[in-house]
Formats: sequence, structure tokens, C-alpha cells
Amino acid sequence: MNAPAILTENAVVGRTAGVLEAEVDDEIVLLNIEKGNCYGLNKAGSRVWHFIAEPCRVSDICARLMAEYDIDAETCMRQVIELLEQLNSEDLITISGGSGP
Amino acid sequence: MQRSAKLDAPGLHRYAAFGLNIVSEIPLPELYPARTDSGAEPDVRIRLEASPETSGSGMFVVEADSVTLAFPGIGRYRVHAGADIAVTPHQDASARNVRLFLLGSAFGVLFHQRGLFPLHANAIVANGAAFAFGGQAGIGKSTLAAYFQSRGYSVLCDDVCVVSFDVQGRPLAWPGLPRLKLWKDAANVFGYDSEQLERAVDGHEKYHVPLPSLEAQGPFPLASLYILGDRQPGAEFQIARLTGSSALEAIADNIYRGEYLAPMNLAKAGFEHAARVARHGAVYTVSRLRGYDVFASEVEKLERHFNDGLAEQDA
Repeated sequence: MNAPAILTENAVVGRTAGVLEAEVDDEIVLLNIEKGNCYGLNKAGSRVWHFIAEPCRVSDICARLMAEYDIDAETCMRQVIELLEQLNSEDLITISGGSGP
Repeated sequence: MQRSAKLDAPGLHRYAAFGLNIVSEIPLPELYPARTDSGAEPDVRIRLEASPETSGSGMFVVEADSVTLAFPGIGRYRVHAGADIAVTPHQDASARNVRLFLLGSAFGVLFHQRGLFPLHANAIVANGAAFAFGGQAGIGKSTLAAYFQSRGYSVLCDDVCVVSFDVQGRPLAWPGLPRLKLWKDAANVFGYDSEQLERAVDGHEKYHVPLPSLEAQGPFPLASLYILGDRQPGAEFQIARLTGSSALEAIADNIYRGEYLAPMNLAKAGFEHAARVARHGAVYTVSRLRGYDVFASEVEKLERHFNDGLAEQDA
């Protein structure tokens, strides 16, 4: 899997087309039909999913989260990358760019 | 419709099950006859179809709004638009086995085509609400239903619990086949004499225990789905609530003939239906031991659990 290598703060992240979503018990549940696994997002994860309705840079996701949550930049970046790696392994997001300076 | 004249012809059998009026050229003793005064148009027509090409192997073919299923040595079922099933029995198949696959897989396709949401579960009625019990084959769903039956609850359905949704998206569970499929030893435990019962499958010690039909009482709101699973010896009996994605995934894993959804291009509908059940009903896993020695004490806890749930809702 080479996805983590390109998931830098400059990478642009968007939703995979055709992913199904449903809100259940304060979670957003995602399903890529081809993969067949349900993936549940907590509150912060749901915010990220909301942000990437329009593809945006990882650094922008972090900036917006830091405006909403009391969290430091480093922790925020680490957790966002972690979440995006998981979403990527379920083919729920697309990643472009990020290899540049 | 040129077929309507044929409807009153002799040799047609009318039944009611799953909230559907069914007209069949094949007698289906597993079902209760429709009320004779109901002049309703049939929802489902089942007819025999002679066909030169009876496939020898299993198959599942989707074309437009038809699905064709074939089972070796049993026959072929063409299910069209959720309203019509053409059955071509294999020459060597028994009538019982032809019905088994008709009321099983072929109806599974039919439910999906009609936009219904069939769960692989039994359900009982308590206080006007339905409680469903799912879990993989052999985990004891029917035995559990037989127990609740003996405790005075009504069994709504066995094996397949057909769910539809009201205008608010809340799940409704429909009456199903009015029988329980029990292994001989389970039937004996609940005081049935297997000599007096109809076999469910040729050559297997599995029997049909007839039940009163709840067809006339219509659907019941689905309150909970309990998913039965094994527990390790030594571990505690446990009923655990699932929420969010775990609840949705557990429901999706218990869709009857859920593997048909993707080839029928209905995966999205299945996901959305599962989400509605998760939103409006409670999903629990039940880790239980097998065996009749622990059965009584475990099911009493289960019975208390859904009655307590009802009490909470009323409070």
C-alpha cells in the first residue's frame, strides 16, 4: 500500500464516488459497496467527511478542525492522517497530489 | 390482463402470507389459504412452466427485472418484477423440495424485488411489538421461538422476517410462514410428536410444527433484533447493545439472501433499509451456550430483557 506515502499535508482528499452513507446513533456510517465493509465515523470523523464533500487539502482539514476543537496542531495532523489512512484503505476517499514541496 | 380469466379456473390455490395475496398453480400446504371473501387482486402469481432447458447446475442470472435461479435436481425459478414466479421442477424433484426452494430462495428474490427487507430471523410478538431473533443457521433460532410459543407468546414468523417501512421510515415486521422448522429432538422437548409432523426436507430429521397464522393481524412495529451467537464456556451470558456502524453491519449480515442484493443492483437499498432498522430499532448480540441444560435459564433472561425494554418504552 503506497497510500500513506502520499498522504501529506499538501495532499488533496475527496470522497470516492458512489460511497453510501447513513446516520445512525450520532455516527456517520459509510459503505463502499465493492468493498462491503461498513465504516463508522465519530463526531470529529463526521466533520472531516463533511469537509471533504468538496476535495480539499489535508492542511485545510486540520485548520478547520482546530477552529472547532481544542486540539494542538501536531495531534490534529496525526489524527487526521490516521483517519484518512483508514478511509483510504476502505477505498472511501481519493487522494491526489501531495508529493510536491 | 389475459391471465385474469384463468384466475378463477379450477386448480388455482389462494394463500395469504407476508402480507401478500398469493395465487398458485402449485399447492402450498405450508401456507394458510386466503380468506375466500377477499376479492383482492393477487400480489404474487406462481405458475408451473414447462421448459425444455432445465439447467443441470446451480445458477443465478439477473436480466432487467427478472432473476432466474436454478438448483441441481430441484428445478428452475424465474422471478419477475416481484409479482410472478415461474417454476420448472426437475423431473426427479419431490414436490416438498420444490416448495422448499420456492418459499426460500425464490421468495427471497421476490422480497428484494418488491423493495421489502427480509431478515434471516424469527420474530415473536410481545405487547403489540415484534422482537426478532437472528444469527447464523444452527444457532437455535427456531428452538427459541418454540420456547416463546410455549410461554404464550405468538410467533410471527420463522426463518424469514419480512420488514417494510412506514412513512416515517420505521420498520414493520410482517407475519411469515405459519410454522416452525424444528429438529426432531427440539420438537420432542416442546412436546410435539415428530411422527405426527410433516418433514421439512426430504431425508432430514427436521420437521414442520404448524403455528396459528397472524396474517389477519397485520404487521407489528419491529422493536428489537437480537443476534444470537455462541459464547465460550466459562464466559458470562451477555446481552450487549450494538450502536452505529456495528448495529448497521450486524443487521446487514442478517439479511435473508443478502448475497443477492449486489447482483440485483440493490446494495444501496439494502444499506438504507439496514440503516432505518438501526435507527428505529435496538440491536443486541446475545452470547449463549448451546444445549438444553442451560437453555431455560438463558432464555428467561432474554425474555426479561425484552419485557424490561417494553417497560422502559412505556415509562
